Amino acid sequence: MQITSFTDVLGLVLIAGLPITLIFLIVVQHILGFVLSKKYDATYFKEPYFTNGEVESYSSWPLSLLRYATYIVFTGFPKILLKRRFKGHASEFIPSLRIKLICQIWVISLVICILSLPVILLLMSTLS
Amino acid sequence: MLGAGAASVTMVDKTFKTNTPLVANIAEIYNDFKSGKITKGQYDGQRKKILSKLKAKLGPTNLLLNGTKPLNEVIRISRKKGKKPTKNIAQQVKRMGKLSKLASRGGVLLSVAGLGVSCYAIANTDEKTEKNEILIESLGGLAGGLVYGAAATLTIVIMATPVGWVGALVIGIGGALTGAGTGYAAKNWYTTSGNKIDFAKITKVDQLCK
Repeated sequence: MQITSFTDVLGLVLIAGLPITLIFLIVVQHILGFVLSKKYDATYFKEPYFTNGEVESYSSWPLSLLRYATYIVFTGFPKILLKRRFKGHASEFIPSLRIKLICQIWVISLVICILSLPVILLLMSTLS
Repeated sequence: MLGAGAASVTMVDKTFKTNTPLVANIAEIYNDFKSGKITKGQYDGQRKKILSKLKAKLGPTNLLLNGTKPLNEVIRISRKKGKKPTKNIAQQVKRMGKLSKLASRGGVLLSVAGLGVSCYAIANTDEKTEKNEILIESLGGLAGGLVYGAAATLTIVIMATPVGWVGALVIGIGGALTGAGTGYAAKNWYTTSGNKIDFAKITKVDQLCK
C-alpha cells in the first residue's frame, strides 16, 4: 500500500475515515441516548417540550435517534436548546463532567465530519 | 435511479415525521374546547389554521396518506356512539408514524440494494482497476450520504421546527446528489492518483463479491 501525496490522504479520509467515524458516532449516539433518556424523559419527554405527536413518533427506532440527538446536544451545549425547545427550563439533572465532555466531543465530531466533506472535496479538486 | 428512490422515501419519512405533531395538535385543541379552556369559535379558528398549515406542509404526500380524500374529511371529530371523539386523529397519527417507519426502512433497503448492485458489478468485472473504481465510488457515495444525513439531523434538532414536503424533498434530493457527487469525486481521485492501491484486495471485497 503506497500513500505518496496529500490527495491520497484526503482520498483515504473520504472513503474510509468519514464513513467509519460516522458509523462509530451513530453507535455512540445509541449508547448516550439510552443513558440520557433515562435521566431526561421524565422531565422533558412530554408537553410543552415535545408535542404529543413527537412523543409518539420519537418513542421508537429509528425516529428515537432524533430524541437522542436532542438530549446529547442539550447535555453538551445546554444554552442552544434552552433558547429553543427547552426554553427557560434548566434541567434538574446535573450531568457528570465525563458525560458532558463525551456529549460535547460527540457534537463537535459530528460538526467536524459535516464540515470536512466540502473541505476535502474542494482540496481534492484543487490539488488534482 | 436508486438515488431518486432514496430521495423520495426520505421525503416521505421526513414529511410525516415532522408534521405528525400538527395532527396531534387538533386533538389537543379539541380537548381544550371540551374542558372549557377555549370557546367554540376559538376551536374552529385554530382547527382551520392547523388544517391549512398541514395541507401546505404535506403537499402531494397527502395522496400517499389519505388517497384523494381531503384532510378535513379524514381528520374530523367522531360523532359515533361508543367511539372516542379523537379516534380518527389518533388513527391518522398512527398511520403517519407507520408510513414514516416504512419509508425510513425503505431508505435502508435501497442503500443495501445499492451496495448489492455494486457488489454484482464488481463480481462481473475481471479488470482489477474497474473493480476498485466501483468500490471507491460506492464508498464515496456512502460517505456523502452519511454526512448529509448527519447534517440534516443536527439541523432538525437545533431548529426544532417541522419540515414541509418541499423541505423534505430538498433534503432527500440533496442527500442523493451529495452521495452521487462524493462518489464521483472519490472515483476521480482514484483514477488520477494512478490506481496505486488495490482496495478491493485489501478489504477482501473481491473475494466477497464473486
